[in-house]
Amino acid sequence: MRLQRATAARQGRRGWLRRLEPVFYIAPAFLVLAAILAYPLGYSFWLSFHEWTLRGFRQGVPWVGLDNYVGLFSNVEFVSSLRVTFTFMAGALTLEFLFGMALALLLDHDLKGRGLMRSLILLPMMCTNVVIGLTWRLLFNYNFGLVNYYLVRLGLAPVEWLSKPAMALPSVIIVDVWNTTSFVALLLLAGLQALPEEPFEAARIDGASWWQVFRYLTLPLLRPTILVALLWRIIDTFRIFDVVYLLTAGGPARASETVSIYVYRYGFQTFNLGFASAASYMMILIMLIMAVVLARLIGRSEA
Amino acid sequence: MHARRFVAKMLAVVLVLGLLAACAPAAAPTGAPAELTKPPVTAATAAPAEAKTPAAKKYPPIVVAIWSGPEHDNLVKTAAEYEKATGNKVTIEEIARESYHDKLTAVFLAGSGDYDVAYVSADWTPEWVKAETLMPFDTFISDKAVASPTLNLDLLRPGVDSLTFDGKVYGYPSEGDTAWLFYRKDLFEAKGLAVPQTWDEFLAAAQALNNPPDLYGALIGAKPDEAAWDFMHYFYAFGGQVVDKNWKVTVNNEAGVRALTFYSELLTKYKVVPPDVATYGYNEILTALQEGKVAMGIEWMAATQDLQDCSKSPKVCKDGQPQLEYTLVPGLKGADGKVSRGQGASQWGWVIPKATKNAEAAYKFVEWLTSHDGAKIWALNGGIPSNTEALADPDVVAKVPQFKLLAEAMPYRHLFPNTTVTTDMWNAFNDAINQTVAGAKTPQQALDEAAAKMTEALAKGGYTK
Repeated sequence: MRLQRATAARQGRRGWLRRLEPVFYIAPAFLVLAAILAYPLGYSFWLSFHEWTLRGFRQGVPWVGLDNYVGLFSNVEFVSSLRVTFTFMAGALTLEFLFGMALALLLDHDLKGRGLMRSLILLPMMCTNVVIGLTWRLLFNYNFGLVNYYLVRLGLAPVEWLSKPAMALPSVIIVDVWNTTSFVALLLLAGLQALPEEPFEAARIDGASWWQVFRYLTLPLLRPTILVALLWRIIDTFRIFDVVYLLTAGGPARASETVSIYVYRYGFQTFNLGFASAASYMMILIMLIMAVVLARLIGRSEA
Repeated sequence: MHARRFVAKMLAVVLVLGLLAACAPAAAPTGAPAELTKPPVTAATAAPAEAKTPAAKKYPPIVVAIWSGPEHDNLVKTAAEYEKATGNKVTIEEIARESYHDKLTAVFLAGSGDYDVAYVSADWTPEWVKAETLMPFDTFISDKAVASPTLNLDLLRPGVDSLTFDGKVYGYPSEGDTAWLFYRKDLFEAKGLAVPQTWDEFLAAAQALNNPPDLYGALIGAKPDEAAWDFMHYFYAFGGQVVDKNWKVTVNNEAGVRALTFYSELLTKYKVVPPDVATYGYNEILTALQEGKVAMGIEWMAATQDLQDCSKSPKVCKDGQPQLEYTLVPGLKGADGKVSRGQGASQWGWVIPKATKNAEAAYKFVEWLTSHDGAKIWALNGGIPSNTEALADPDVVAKVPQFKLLAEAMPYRHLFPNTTVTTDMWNAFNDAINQTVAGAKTPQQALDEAAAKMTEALAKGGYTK
């Protein structure tokens, strides 16, 4: 009896220890994350309700309530930067998924040198964005760029890639498509190769055309993959900064100013940190809504 | 169930890819971004220190931040002389022009002590002083053990006044810069054209020489973050004024609108400038002039040495003689036939961030750099010293002919207002120019909007009610 109670007590103590054990493993990572994620998030949330300027913050950071948020939506430049961001997103995603799907379908065949080709198309993705931005800025240079050089050699007129408002955003889209189409292709290819064989065989026996197979079998079966790729790319395109900053700095005339460039301008050029924080929080909110909707869709296609 | 495992696999792929992309820099192609992240240049490697003055006190090494361009190249050479004279080490960090102000502000605010000295435009400093990020020089000036016995602030006027706030000195001046109209002597002579003194003559010459796409008559700059630097010469030359005595914003008055109209019409109406000028800033203007793409253009005088150096600008040299000559920025001809002039100017200087751990070493370097000796070397290396004694030094006068023209230009120079809200005002002004040149707004519209923003900024800064 006594022995039993002692064992139970020991077990209880051990159980308590065991329950505590994971804390030791998780705590360091948790603390680091809290420090680098939670604190800035909390601080910028606090900032978004205050007025923080370089010239004034030593005298105090006054509470301004929702002023920053109200100011944001009455600011035409913010609304315009949202429009630019969504235009960019729509343009880039459409092209990336079209080309990506074509590439994936091509690589799904038993081609010679498929392995090599697969690694080759990944090259643009391996470059850092700063290198991409600077390289393309040179390529797109009106006077000395290679792109215009070859256009002229072909007897075409040189294009003002980065200096014409109407061309600036398309130029950025071209670079993004060049950069990440292979990423989309790779995801779709992985999805294609994981598809079951049987429905395709059945369709072939039934005499379905290539288009019918693609439209009624491949696409629906690929839906989860497409959604994952879409979620990933939407998040990426929505917060794009470095490539745009290096190519056009948001210009000319704000024609390519995305939301992150807008935030940068208010945050790090004029150091209006309260206002910039409010803009960042709007970004998070918009991104969150899009992510939740897509995650729901992914969940539904899973069931 | 199958689908769930599948989605998990896909996410794993995505994660691995993400990691791959993050590790990619090592695999990045060659032709790395030299422009953005040049490794810091140690002046010691440029010229090893030899004879050390025994009297010079030993100080710890310091790091100086400067934007890329002629001032950086000059600092490398001049700092090497300082190292030779004192044996104290100076490391120079070069930062891209377009993000220079933002980067400095972030570093100062972070209080990181990365830089001991920074080369800055005087009109950036009021905001930094308000944010308590700069170190006042007064403790050094009054300390006999630190300040040089030959220190004389009067020699640094008026530059040093632009760096003085509430009676405290926050920096010593260098580079009281203004711009010249650079023109191709050979092309002007070939066509028998006179050097333009007025804007009408400027436009006529540009039209006469314009032969696109090989040669453009003139050139302007309207890069998003730099446009105002290039436009301000036209602005002041046309009689523009940023604010009046009562801080009322006047950028959108008749003269301002006329200036911006002329500026943007060089592209939109007369087509005498390269079509992509909306992406031109200091460096692009310099390149276009060096490449012989344009017959004339207004550029900062700091560029004179680069433009007249045949090893740096071989395409605009003939038989070893530079063909790019310079003169005063054109003006407006009045009813009396006299030409009224004006041109933009900027005052730069050396400041010490509060977070530095080597304040005294930093101060001694700045003091030397702006002293008669240091400023003279700075001038002979292509710089524009703000030390009046160095400017009048016979060696300097003999070797740097443009200072004669600078003396002539002195009364026409205009500085942008130096306030705690200058960054906001500057950005609004910048925007107006970029938007107009890009064709998104009319000059009147753009300047009205800029004026509204600048008025708001001035009210926020407490300059007006």
